[in-house]
Amino acid sequence: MAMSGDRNVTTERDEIEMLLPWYVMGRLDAADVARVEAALARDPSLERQFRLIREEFDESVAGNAAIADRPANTADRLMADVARRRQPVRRMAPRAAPQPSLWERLGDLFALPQMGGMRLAGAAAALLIVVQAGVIGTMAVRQSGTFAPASGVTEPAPRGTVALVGFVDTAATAAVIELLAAHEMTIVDGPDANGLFTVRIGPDHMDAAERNAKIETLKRRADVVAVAVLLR
Amino acid sequence: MDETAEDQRLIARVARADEPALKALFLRHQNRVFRFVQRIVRNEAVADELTNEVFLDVWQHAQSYEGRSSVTTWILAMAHNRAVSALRKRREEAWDEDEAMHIPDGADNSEVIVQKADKGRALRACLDALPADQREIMDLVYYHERSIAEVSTILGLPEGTVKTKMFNARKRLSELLKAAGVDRGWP
Repeated sequence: MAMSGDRNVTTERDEIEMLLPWYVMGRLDAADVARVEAALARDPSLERQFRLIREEFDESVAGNAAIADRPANTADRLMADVARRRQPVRRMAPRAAPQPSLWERLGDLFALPQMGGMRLAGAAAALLIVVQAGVIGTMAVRQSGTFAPASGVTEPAPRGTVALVGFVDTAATAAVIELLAAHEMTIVDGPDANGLFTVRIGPDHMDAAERNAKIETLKRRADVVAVAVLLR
Repeated sequence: MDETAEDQRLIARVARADEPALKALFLRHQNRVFRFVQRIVRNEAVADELTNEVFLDVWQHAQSYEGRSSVTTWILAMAHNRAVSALRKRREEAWDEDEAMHIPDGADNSEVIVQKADKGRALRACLDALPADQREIMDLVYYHERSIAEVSTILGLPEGTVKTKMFNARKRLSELLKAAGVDRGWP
């Protein structure tokens, strides 16, 4: 550390230099921001650090970006591991059956209060969504012209910004396709075991506002969309 | 709903054994966790396995999440612990986190680095040559954009130590670059 003389003595300049990476990243609290800016006003030479920090930032990001995304179906392996470990997991309300069937899992899905628009209609509804999900998946994916095989086949991660979307059990297939087409969205994978689809909602580099706007667009169509969650 | 609020909502559902919520959380964060772990353990297969284990930890411990940090920070803390444990096992020796995490990477030396084409590539090579703990903190600050308090939570270190550790990592990076023929004029 650039400490003057005694290794254990930290100078005020050292203290400020230590804060600069977080200052440049905009991750300092207000008190430390004021402290850094006062120091910068007294000693503009500290600003030379900004260029170095920017270089470090660029190369750190580049090094991470060089690591490819994981395949799209890695979640299947996780969910299989979860199923194997379900028994010993401690829960506030233990399930009666140690390994719920697909129908029970869908029943849980319907029961969630956060999923506005998805109506609980018992096992019949669960059956309907499974059947319809398959139809929607096939039709929507084929209409997009880029057929994506069902889960279980190793596929590269879909390009673009993607969301996990569940459709309302009573939604017509045509309504789903129309909604997605109107907003230039495409189903790229699914349905998974829970009837959820991976939907490409736009290109890779959407900013947060654009991503949120797309998700909100889906959520506003409560007659068609039961749940929409941004994945990446 | 912003991404943090969405994560909070998902983790609450995971705590109620909601598997679709776990899957959504996994799909949102798996690449971040995978990259974080791989940059530490430097083995794709190990990083892949550890990423799964991290999310099994999320599944099993979601009820203990108290919202004191963001979900991302909470998950990265578990990823850090998994990666440190994996390094410990790999080296098959009594673990001294300070000691083992400080072992510099031997993949590249200064003489090799200096012949690389441009400053950016030299800088990246020197980042890769940092000891694992220094590389990790640089990634946490720059790539994962964690604050001092968040890095403190992830690494389990006091905030003062976090600042010193980052400072030392940056200094070490400059020293490696200087040895490679790139003088940054600091420190």
